[in-house]
Amino acid sequence: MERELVFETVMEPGTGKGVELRRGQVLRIEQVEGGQCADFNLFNLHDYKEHFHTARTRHMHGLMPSTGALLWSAPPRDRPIAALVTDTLGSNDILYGRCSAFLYDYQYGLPVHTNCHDIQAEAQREFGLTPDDVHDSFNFFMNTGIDPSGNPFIAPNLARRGDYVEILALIDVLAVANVCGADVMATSNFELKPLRIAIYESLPGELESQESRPEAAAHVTQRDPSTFRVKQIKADRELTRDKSYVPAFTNVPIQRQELDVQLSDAEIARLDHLIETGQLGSTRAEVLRYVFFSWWIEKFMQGPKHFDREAAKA
Amino acid sequence: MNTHDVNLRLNQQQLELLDRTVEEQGSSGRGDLIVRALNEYYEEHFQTPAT
Ligand SMILES: [Zn+2]
Repeated sequence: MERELVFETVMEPGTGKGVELRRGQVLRIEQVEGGQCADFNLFNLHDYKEHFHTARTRHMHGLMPSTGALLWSAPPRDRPIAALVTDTLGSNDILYGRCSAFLYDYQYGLPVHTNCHDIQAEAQREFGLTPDDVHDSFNFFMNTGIDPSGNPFIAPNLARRGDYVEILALIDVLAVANVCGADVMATSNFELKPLRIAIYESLPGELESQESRPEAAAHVTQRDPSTFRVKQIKADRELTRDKSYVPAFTNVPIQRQELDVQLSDAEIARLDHLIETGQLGSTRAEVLRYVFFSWWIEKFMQGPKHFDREAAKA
Repeated sequence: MNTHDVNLRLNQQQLELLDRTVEEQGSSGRGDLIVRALNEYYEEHFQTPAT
């Protein structure tokens, strides 16, 4: 079954385009020639302060999200606002920041150069946003990795003509895609090429299948401005201290208590062996606490566990 | 059998998780659950396979 086409256009090199997507609509970003990175921003159409957050998305889906990943908004909203429902290539990045005029100036001596930040800002201007509103991008078709010493790198772009990603909106959004302006970095194989974007209606059941995922269940911790102590968006640039401010941090004061745990000879031997590994702490109390919470995470925690299980082996 | 006391420092939030798990797991108490965690964690990660 084919999706019904609502809108399509081609983004030429050096450009980007913001489009309104209604909940349940799908945005396709498609290679026209191949080898082209697309940077992407995503805002709640009815409250631009809620927008896509690379860091939460990394936490939930890793550095290279592909089909099945959700696009999360920043805390405290912290909810899936879109889903990556199709990815014909499976080579995306949410580690690198968008390229900007500064990078081409500083690294190449090219102060006037196509760059994702300025292209995004210009596209977003159609909806009244300012250059400060551009956020960390989802970099579709950008092929990256981490070398053994922990440094990220950019590898050749693997996208072929016709490769595409499809993003299903879970709320009404402003989606802004752009042709990455990097032609002197490896991002798009040193050439700027057009990208097609198209809006489709989703197929029956597609939205429901995303909304019924466990990660999509609503939590009271996903907060909107109705719960903010300051509800108005600050409209001036100067920062001044509120003299009536009274701190209201959660669960403060944090109070540490002592808890005696009784261990047998055999158990204390195990604990001492764990101390000898040198990985979990240097005292019996530190290691026992580390072990308890590690065990809890492995056994009960929902979502990605963020443990290097190999490193935990002695 | 000798017993050894290990004096853990935990805050109220950590105790909240501990107490909830004690209840959900039907453990006889905080110490009981922590000892279970030690044994299961050790057996999973550090037990050398029997030869
Ligand atoms: Zn770029």
